[in-house]
Amino acid sequence: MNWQRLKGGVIRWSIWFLAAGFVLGLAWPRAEWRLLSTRLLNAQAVERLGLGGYFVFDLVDTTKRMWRRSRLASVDAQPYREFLQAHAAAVRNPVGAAPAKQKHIVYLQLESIDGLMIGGRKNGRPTMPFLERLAEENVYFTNVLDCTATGRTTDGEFLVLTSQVPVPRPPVYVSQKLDRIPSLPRVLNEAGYYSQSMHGFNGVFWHRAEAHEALGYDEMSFEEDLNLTEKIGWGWSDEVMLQAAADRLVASDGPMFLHVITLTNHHPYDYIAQHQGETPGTIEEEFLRSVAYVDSAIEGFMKRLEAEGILDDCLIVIYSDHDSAIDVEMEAHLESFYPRLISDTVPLVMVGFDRDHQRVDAIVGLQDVPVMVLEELGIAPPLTFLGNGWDKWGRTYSASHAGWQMAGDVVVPWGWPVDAETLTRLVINHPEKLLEP
Amino acid sequence: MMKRVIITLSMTLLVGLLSARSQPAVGFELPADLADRSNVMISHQGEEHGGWSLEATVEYHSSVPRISVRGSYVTRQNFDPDSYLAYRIYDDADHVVLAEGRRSEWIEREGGGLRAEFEIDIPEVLDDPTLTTLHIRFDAVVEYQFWYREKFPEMPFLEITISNIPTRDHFEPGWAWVPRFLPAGFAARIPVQFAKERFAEDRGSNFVPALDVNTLDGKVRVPSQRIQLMEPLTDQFRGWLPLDAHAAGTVMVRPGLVWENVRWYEANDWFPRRAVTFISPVLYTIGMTSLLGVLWWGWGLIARIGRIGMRRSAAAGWALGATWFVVQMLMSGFWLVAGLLILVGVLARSKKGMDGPRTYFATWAFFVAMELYWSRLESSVATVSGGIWVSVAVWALLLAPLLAIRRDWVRGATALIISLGWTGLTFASVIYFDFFQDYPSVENLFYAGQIGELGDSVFTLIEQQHVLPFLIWFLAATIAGVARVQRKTQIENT
Repeated sequence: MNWQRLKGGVIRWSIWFLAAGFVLGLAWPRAEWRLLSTRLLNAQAVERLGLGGYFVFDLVDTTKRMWRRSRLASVDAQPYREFLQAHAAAVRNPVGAAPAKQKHIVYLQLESIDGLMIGGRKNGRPTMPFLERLAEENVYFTNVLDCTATGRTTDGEFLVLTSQVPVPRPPVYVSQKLDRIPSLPRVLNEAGYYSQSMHGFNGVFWHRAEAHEALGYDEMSFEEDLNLTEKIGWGWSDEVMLQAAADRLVASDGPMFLHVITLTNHHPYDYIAQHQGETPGTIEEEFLRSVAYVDSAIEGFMKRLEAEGILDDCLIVIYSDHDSAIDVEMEAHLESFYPRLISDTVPLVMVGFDRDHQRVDAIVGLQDVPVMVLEELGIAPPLTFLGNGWDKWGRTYSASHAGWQMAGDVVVPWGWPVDAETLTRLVINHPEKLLEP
Repeated sequence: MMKRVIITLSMTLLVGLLSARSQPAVGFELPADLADRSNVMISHQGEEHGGWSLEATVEYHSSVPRISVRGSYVTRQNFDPDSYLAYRIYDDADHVVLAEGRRSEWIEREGGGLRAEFEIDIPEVLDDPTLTTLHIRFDAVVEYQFWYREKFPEMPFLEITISNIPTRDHFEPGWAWVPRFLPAGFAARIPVQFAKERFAEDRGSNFVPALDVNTLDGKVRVPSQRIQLMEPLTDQFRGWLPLDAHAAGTVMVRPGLVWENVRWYEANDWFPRRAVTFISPVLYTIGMTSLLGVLWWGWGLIARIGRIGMRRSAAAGWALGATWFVVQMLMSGFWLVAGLLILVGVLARSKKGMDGPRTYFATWAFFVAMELYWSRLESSVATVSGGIWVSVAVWALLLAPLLAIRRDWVRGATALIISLGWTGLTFASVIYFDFFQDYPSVENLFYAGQIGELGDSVFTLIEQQHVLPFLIWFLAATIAGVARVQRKTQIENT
C-alpha cells in the first residue's frame, strides 16, 4: 500500500467534498426554507433546489412521513375509540327523522373575514349590511373559532368537511392521503347527494384538487375549469363565482352538496381597489372595501336563489375559513362592534335550517358545522366527527391553541385525555380502527 | 417560342429602364423642401405651353417613414385620349427609385384642357434610409405603347423635387450566422453583429434588436423575444438574439430591429431572410453526434499523415469544421450534449488516474447535464439559479459511494443503472408537472395507476425533447463503453 499516494487521494477528495458542501451551504435557500417545507407547491421547491435537490428533500420528507405512518399502525386505538365514543355521547343529539324533502346543502366559504364584520360599524354604517341582516333573520354564531393551523384555508376546509382538527404542521392537504377519512362528501354521497366543490384559483395550490378528490367530491371545478367573465386578485371574482354556483343549483335536478370557496378578499385586501383602478389606502380601509364587495356578492347570490324560487330548497352555511390576521387592527379601526369572548373569531351564519332565528354566543368551532348539518338532515355523523351538535355548544378544540370551553361568561382552556395530533392521524390513516365497535 | 418572348420582354424592360434613367428633365421643377416641416403645399399656375397648373400637398409621415403627395395636375397640352397621367421617381443621382407610378385618368375641363387627380405614395423612403432628395417626374403614358417623355423629349412636364427628407434610423448590417437546421422544441440563439449609421433623433433609437421570424410564405410574423437592452443602442451591436422553440417545420429568420407597436426596421440593404428548418431533436442529436464522431475520427487520421504540409492543411480544414460544429452547438444549446459526450469519451479513454474517480466524474457530469437540460427545457426547474448549484453539489456528495465500489464492472453497471433510473424519474416528474402543474413526490409516483388512468392524455404531452435524455444516456453509455474498450486494447498492446 502506497501510504503517500493514499494520503494525497484522501486530501484531494476531502477538498472536493468540502467544496461541494460549501457550494451546497451557499446555494441552500435558507430564507425560503420555511415556505418550501410546507410544500404548498412542490414546484417551488424544484425552482429553488433543482431536480436533484428536490429529490433528496422529497425522499427525506416522504421517509419521515412513512415512518410516522408506520408508527401509527402500532398505536393502541382503544383509548382514542373510547374518547370518541364518550365525546359523541356528550356533544351529539339523538338522530331525528329525515326531512321529507332533501334540500341542497351549500357551503359559502368566505376568505379571511373576521367575526367582527357582522355588527361592525364604520362612519355609522354596517361593514357587511346584508350578511348582518341575514344573521339576524337566521342562526348566527358570535364566538366561532376557525381552529386552523398552518394550512389556513385548507385547514378550514378540512374542519368543515371532516369535523377533525388538522395537524399543526405540515398542512393535512399537502402531507396526508385523505382518501380514507370519513368526510361530509362521502356521507352525503351515500345519502344520495351529488357533491361539488368550486374554487376560483388553480387546483394545484395546496394540492387542493388532489385533496378534494380524495375527500370524496363527485366533481371539482377550479380556475381552469370555469369559464367566467371577471377576475379580481387571485382568480375568478366572488361575484361571478357565486352566480356560477347559483346556476348549478338552479340546474340541479337532485339534492346537491355545493362547496363554494371564495377568494377575492385575500390578503393584502387591496384587489378591489386595484380592480377599480384606484390607489389602495391603508390595509384597514381596503379590508372594509373588500368585505363590502363580498357582502354585495353574497346578496347577489341570495337574491338570485330567491328569484329562481330555490332559496327555500337550500340549507346555506356561510362561514369564513380563518380570520383576517388584522383583527386587532380592525377592532381599533371600527367605531363599534359586537362584543366577543375572544378576538379572532370568524362569522358563521346558518340559513334555511329548521331552527328559530337566534344569536348563539357560546363558543363553537368550524368542526361543529358538518355535525349540525347532518343532524338537520337526520343523518348520524360518523364517530370520527368531533364537532358539537345543535345546542351542545360551548367547547371546541383548535389546532393552534388546543381546547377551549365556556366557564360562565369566560373562556378557559380545556384538556383532552388523548393526544389530538395522533387522533387526527389515526382518523386519516386508520379510521377503521376507530370505527370498530 | 417562350424563350424568345422572355428575351424580348427582358430587353424591352432593360431598354425602358435605361431610357428612364437617361431621360432628361424638361419642364418646370417645383421645390418641396421638408426641412423642419412635415408637410409642404405646392401651388403653381402659369400660362407656359398653353397654360398648366399643379396643386399638391407633400406630407412626410414619420412613425413609419413614408411620403405621400396628393393633388391635381391641369394642362392644356394635347394628349392622346387613351393616355394617363403617370410619373417616375428618381433619386438625386438620377437613379430610378420607382419606374412605374400609379396612373391617373385625364378628365376634360369645361373651359378646355385636361385635369388629373393624383395620389402618390412613396414608401421607398423606408426601404432606403439614405434617400434625402426625390424627384417626381410627371409624364403621360399610353399603356403598352409609349411614354410621352421618351417619344416626345421636347415636350415639357412638371417635376416635384422633394428635398431635405427627414433623417431616418439607419443601421448597417454586419454579419449573422443563421443555421439551416435546428432541433425542434428547443430555443436557440443566433449570433449577430450590426452597426448604427444614424439615428433619426439624437437621443437614440426606439428600436430594440430581436429576430424577425416569419412563416415560410412570409405572410405571418411569428412572435419572438426582444433583447432587454441595459442601455440604448450605440454604434455597434454584437450579441445573441434569442430564437424561441418551434415545432418541426421551416420559418424564415433574419436579425431584426423592432420599434414596439410601431414597425420593424426595413431597409433594402438589411439582412436577408433565411430559411431555418426545425427538425426532430432526436435526428438532430444523432446527426450532431455522428459529426462529433467524424471530427474525433478525423483528428486521428490527421495525426497519422506523414507529410507536414498536408497534415497542416488537413488540420486547418479540421479546425474550420470544428469551429462550425462548436458554433452550431452554441447556437442550438446542444453544447451541453456535445460537451457531456466529449467529457464522457475523454474520461473513459484516459489512461490517467483510476477507474473509480473517472466513473464518478462521468456519472456526476451526466447528472449535472440532466439538471441543466431540464432547467433549459422546463421553465419550472431551478429557475432560481441557486437551484442548479444545490443539485450540482447534492450529486457530488450523493454519488460518492461509487468511489467505494471496488470491482470495475459493478461500479460501471451501478453508474449506468442509477443514471438511467434518474433519467426515468426526471422524465416522469416533468410529464407529471406538465399534466398536473406540480411535481410529484416519490410517493405519488408509486401510485402509477393514477397516471395509467389518464392514459392517452398523458401520452399527448410527451414530446421528443422529453425522451431525448434517454438517447443522450444511450449515446453516453455507448461512447463510454467504446472508449473503455479502446483504452484496454491500447494498454494490452503496449
